[in-house]
Order: sequence, then structure tokens, then C-alpha cells
Amino acid sequence: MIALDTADLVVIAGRTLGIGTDAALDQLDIAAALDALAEARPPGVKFAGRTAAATAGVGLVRALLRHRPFPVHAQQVAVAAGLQFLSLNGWHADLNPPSTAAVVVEALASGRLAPGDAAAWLAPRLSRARRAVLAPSAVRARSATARSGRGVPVPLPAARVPVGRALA
Amino acid sequence: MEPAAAGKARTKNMVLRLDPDLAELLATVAEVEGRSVSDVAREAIAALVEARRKDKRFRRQLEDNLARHQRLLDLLQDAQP
Repeated sequence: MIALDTADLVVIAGRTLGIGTDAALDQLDIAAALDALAEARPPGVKFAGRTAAATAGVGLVRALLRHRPFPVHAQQVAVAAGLQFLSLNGWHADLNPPSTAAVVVEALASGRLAPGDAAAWLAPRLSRARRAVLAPSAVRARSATARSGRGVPVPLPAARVPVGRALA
Repeated sequence: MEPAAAGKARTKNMVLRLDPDLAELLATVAEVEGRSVSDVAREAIAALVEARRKDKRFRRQLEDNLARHQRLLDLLQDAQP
């Protein structure tokens, strides 16, 4: 598993918030970052499947929401870091519709949504990331898959989030 | 661990929980160079950040993630206090 480090968080925050890395480094609470990353790092875990990937991704997001290394923009940085963490480990997340994902993130941040439930929501929204350049054989295989009907989107389970905010 | 610095414009006190060997190394470097531990820690992170900024794969994935989830990030920005 490729874990994020403090420098990763600074680069992610600088780009996500549009402030650049120098300003992001100024805003960084180093102790909070170290605590969050230590809390999120499961010992010796390999991503055997999307459930494990979702659990690890949610664990990182939750740790960043709890420790808030970027206190003013905690949710944006946490989500961007979670997405980047999944990408580095070969997973592509599709958090659509955004309004639903925002409710999930807010519920996770407030503690109204358990990490396990958030991971259950995320897991079916993960897919293996494609390589940047596909070999011709892979392109043919993908075309055949599309023609056969496999890969057609399927309904995804709703998240168990607190009552009061409708899910899209 | 002694207090660590934050930004250029302002500073704040914080406690870093580090591996004992790393903490000792950090303190030694600071003492030898006549600087504060926080200065050395900050410089080390800045050097790592600079290296990461040059990682093309990392940056490409980040740009892709941000582009695909821009609406979500905007919503989260609006929602924060």
C-alpha cells in the first residue's frame, strides 16, 4: 500500500485550495498531520479488493477530518487526499452525484455516519484505475466488454446518513 | 519535543510526536546548525514538498481527481463554517 506523507498533504492542499505549496505549508498544522497520518495507516494492509480500499480511504479521510491539519479547509483537503490516496493505490473513485457525496462527507465529519457505513457507500463507487496508455489488446478487450453489455452502470446502494438531508 | 513553528507570518506552539531516534536526530541537527528544531523540521518538510511537486504522476493523478470532483469540492467549501 502506498501511504500519503506530510509533503503529499501539502501539495494536495496547495492545489486543492488554489493557494500553492508555500501558503499550504504555512497553514499546515504539522503535529495534526502526523497524528492523522499515523492514525490512518493500517499496519501491513494490502488492498485485496475494493472493500479494503474503501475502508482504507475512508480511514484516511476520517483521520484528516478529526485532526484537521488544515483547519480552515478540512473537508476539502480530506476528500482530495482520500481521492489521491486511492489513485496512488490503483483505484478510481466516482463520487457522483456530488450532492450525495457532500452529505456523506459532512456526516462522517460530524460523527453521525460510522466509518464502516461510509466505506460501504464508497466501495461500489471504486473501480480499478486504467493505465494511462492501453495496449492494443487491452483496447480490444475493453471494446468487446462494452459490446457485451458488461460495464453498464448498476444502481448503487444509498448511504445510511442522518435523517433531515435528502440524498439525491 | 520542543515547540515547532508554523508559518512565515505567524507562529504557534505545537507538540510533535516523533520516533525517538528521529527526534534525537532532529535535535542534533538543530544544535549543530544553531537553529531551532522547528526550523529544521519545517525545512525538511519543505524539501519533501519540493520533491513531490516534481512527481509528474502524482500531479497528473491529482489534477484528474480535482477535475472530476470539482463540484463536490465546491459544495464542501460552501458547507464549511
